[in-house]
Amino acid sequence: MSGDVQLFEAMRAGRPDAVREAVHLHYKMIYALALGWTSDPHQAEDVTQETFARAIAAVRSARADSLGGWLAGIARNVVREGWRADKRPRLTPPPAPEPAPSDTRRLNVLKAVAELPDDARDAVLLKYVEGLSCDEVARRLGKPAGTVKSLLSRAYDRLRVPLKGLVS
Amino acid sequence: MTCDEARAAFAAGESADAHAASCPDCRAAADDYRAVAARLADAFAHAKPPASLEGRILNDYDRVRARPLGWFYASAAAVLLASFVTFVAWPRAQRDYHRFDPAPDNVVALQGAMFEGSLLSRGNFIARLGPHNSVVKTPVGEIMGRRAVVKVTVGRKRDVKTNEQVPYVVAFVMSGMITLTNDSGVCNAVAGESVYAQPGELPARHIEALGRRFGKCYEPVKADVAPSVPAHALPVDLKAVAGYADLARQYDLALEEPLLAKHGFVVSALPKWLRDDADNLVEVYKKMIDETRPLLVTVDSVLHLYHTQFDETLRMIEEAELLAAMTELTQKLIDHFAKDETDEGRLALRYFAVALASFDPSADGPASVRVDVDEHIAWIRAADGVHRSPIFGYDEDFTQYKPRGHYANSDRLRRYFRGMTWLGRMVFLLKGGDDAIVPKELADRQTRAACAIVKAMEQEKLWDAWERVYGVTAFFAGLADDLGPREYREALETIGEKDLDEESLGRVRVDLALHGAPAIFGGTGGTGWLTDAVAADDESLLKALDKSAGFRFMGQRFVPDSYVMGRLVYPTVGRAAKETDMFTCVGGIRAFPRGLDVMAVLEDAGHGRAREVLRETRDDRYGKYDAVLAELRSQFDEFKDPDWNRNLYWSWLYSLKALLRKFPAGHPTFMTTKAYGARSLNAALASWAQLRHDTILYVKPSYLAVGSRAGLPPPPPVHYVEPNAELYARLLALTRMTRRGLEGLKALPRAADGRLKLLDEVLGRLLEIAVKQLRHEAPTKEENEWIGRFGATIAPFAGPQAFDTKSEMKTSLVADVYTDPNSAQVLEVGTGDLEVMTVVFLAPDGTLHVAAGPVLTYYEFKHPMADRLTDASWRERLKDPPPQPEWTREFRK
Repeated sequence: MSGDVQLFEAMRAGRPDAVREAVHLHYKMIYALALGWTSDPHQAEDVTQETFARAIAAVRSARADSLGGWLAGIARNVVREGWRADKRPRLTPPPAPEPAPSDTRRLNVLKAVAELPDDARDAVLLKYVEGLSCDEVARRLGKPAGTVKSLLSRAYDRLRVPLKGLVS
Repeated sequence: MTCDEARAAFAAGESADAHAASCPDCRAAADDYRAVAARLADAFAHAKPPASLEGRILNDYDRVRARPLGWFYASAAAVLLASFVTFVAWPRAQRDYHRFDPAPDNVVALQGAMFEGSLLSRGNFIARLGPHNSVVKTPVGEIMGRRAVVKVTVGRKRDVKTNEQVPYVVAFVMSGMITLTNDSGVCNAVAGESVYAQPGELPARHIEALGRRFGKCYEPVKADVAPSVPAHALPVDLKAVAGYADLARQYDLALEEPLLAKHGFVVSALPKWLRDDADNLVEVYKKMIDETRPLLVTVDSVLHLYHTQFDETLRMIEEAELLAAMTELTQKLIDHFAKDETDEGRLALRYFAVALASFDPSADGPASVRVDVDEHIAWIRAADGVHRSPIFGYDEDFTQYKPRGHYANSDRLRRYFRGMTWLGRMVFLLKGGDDAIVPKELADRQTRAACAIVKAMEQEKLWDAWERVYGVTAFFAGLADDLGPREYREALETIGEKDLDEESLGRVRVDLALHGAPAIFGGTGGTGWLTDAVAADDESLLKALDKSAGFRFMGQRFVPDSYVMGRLVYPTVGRAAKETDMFTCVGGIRAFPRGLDVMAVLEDAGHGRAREVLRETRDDRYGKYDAVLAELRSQFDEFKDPDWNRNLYWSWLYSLKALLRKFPAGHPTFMTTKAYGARSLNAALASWAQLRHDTILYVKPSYLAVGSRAGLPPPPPVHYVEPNAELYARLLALTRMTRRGLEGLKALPRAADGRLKLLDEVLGRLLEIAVKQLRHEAPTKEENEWIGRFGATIAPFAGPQAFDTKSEMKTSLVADVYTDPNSAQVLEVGTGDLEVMTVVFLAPDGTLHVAAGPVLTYYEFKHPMADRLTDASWRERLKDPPPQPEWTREFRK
């Protein structure tokens, strides 16, 4: 199956192989996004698992153009709900290990990527999580290669400022 | 080229030097892009999910997909069964029953047993077997046992072959263990199972669908070999052993030589060059790989590898599926009871609210019960003492809520442990009154609440969810020892749609009481009432068990070793005869059992090493110890292979039995020595400690009821496998059962599947080689090389993606297996750093060789109950370890 669009269609049609392929292709990206949002690997795992559970349950009625964007939207909702839940007073505050400075910098990079516009974020994730070339990213997203390059360029422009300090 | 085009090219990692040369802004942007790209690459390289995540997501998916079909089949099966019973079986049974004229009291003789309550019907009754060997004699078989409650059905049915009416008996065990004997043979069953017999046929166990499905997963593997290795003289002349001098230097064996010569084997501490990874089996084996060093693959290695698969697979399922399933189940029951204004409804609400707060501290619990929940959660988290629960009105030992075993490894597992412990330990008591744990009014309310929970499960259609969690955990650890939703549902069916008024509650209670008491006392109600209850006689234990009977939502499991330990303490074994300074003795009574007690019941009569050690340590010097041990051995001796392989826990114990036997002539000489019996016993105890560690959440804990080389390269070394072929065969069958069972349950994580397949291959190969060695045939060159590279073969078990937590591979772990509330101590059993076993063996070419490989260590000691050890705290303690058992001196310096 080539391209997210066809994959999304096959999932909607209830094909188990499509679901498996979608999980295989996207779980690392969703995890990376969730890690950026939550800064906690365990929570990120929970969010990823929950995201796919919800996606699988709702795929037949899904109305979205991009599979990656749709999954990221679900993940964002899961995180927001969890965020709200975490704001409630706990009986005993959970001990949070202090991340190392290098880890904090990396998490900030992920956080900045998570805040990019959907199409730019998808291009960055495919390039860095999946290690795809621009042409491969273009095929996966069903867009011309030039558009993908522009998306990456815009993404880098947006990341230059927040990452400036980190980069230096 | 425009600036936009140039930047797009930079972003794609392409060159646009001509434009950049003339545009300072774009030149600066290109530099920034490169820096951003490096930062992105670094960040994403460190944001990789664990390998198991994909499998967990797909497991979720498979589960969701399987449900509709599962429901369909379940519904169809239920309809077919109901139709069969209504239109065929019941009328036929009625007809047959009337033809079967004699009433039970004419055809059944009871010795030491009594009818319980009223006869259910003619030919269908319940018998309670007394404290001494009791017999229920029927025309087609004798039911024997002690302290068991059994529902007996005697009838006639048409034989399909002869078309004649033949008598039969079915015995459903409600508590304890029984055997059913006829002229053709013997079969036994434990609580929750039934046995069937008719003339001329071997009695057969008919267990519930769940158990039957598990049993089908087991296919024995035969170690078909008649050992024929010639003996060599002992003591061994070590100078005549090929390669000994080099090996002795590498493993620092100077001090061990006398023992090695005497027995042909010795166990010693790891040499310095292996101590960095002293509790990592795979690393130790990897470091042992050397072109010149003869390697020994020990039975301990494969026992440890099975433990790691068992533990990790269970952990993955719990994290990926069971935690979410239990949270959802609990939440739905809370939603149900939030609308229930009755006393029992509020009790059930508070019970599930504590469970939910344990499973998911961020969940929205009902505000109306917040105070009670907060108080209980504080006790659960502190896990440091006994407190009276305002919800249940009796004392609870909250030290049991400290997450141990693999449950201490992550927040999700800790939450799961606490919630399941609450649902497994807290009981809605059946009996109340002056000499009970709670007043009658409270027991009434608790029984009504338990009935309300079962009805709620029916109304909210939650049985599938409950059965799923119960079924998967039962495959690992067995069936519950307590009354649970199934028994209460059955009892409620006796009153039909009637409301639970005084009269119908009485009927439900009578029906439930007929199931009898749990077989293992799990410490219900704390210790206050127990001191009075356990006065001095044998019957006190029965009373204690009886008082603790009631409803547990996810009851802790009946396991044979807890049963053995619960029997081999006071009051059952009486008081100390004379001395009181034994390990097991506190205040003149046998307050603690030992791991040796379990092995003494499991070992072959001819082996008897565990029994001998108990005699040497004087831990058997109690009035009735011998009698109770003999009774337990006779009970367990009746178990056949299918009985032992009813689930993974029992099957693991069955594998260990292959270590607890004598190795007659024909085995390598070192295996025929008495010292090797002690070494095998040590391996069995260490593996048993790992089993208890892995299942610490589910099993019912028993309580007191009261270097470098120089010179010419030598020839290739001759490697060796410790040739216990029977053990490898049993472990291979167990590994296959694990895979098949979990596949059948659709609960097998993908990563676990791969590792179990690898373990299957490893065990199959070891079995082949061990059989060759026992036939005194030389393994092929390729097989010899395979043994020598064992560390590389098993490396995938500890590869970078094999486990989420590296601690899973460590051999240092601990589990508390018994609690003495009077001395506020627990019995801890554990394994520590590895040691090295060196063996001398006779090769088929007639020369003596030597090989060395890692073995497990075993520790057993008492520890304060308020500080139950976790693996992490045990590893700290191992820096200055307690002494290993004295009897291990027989084979180690």
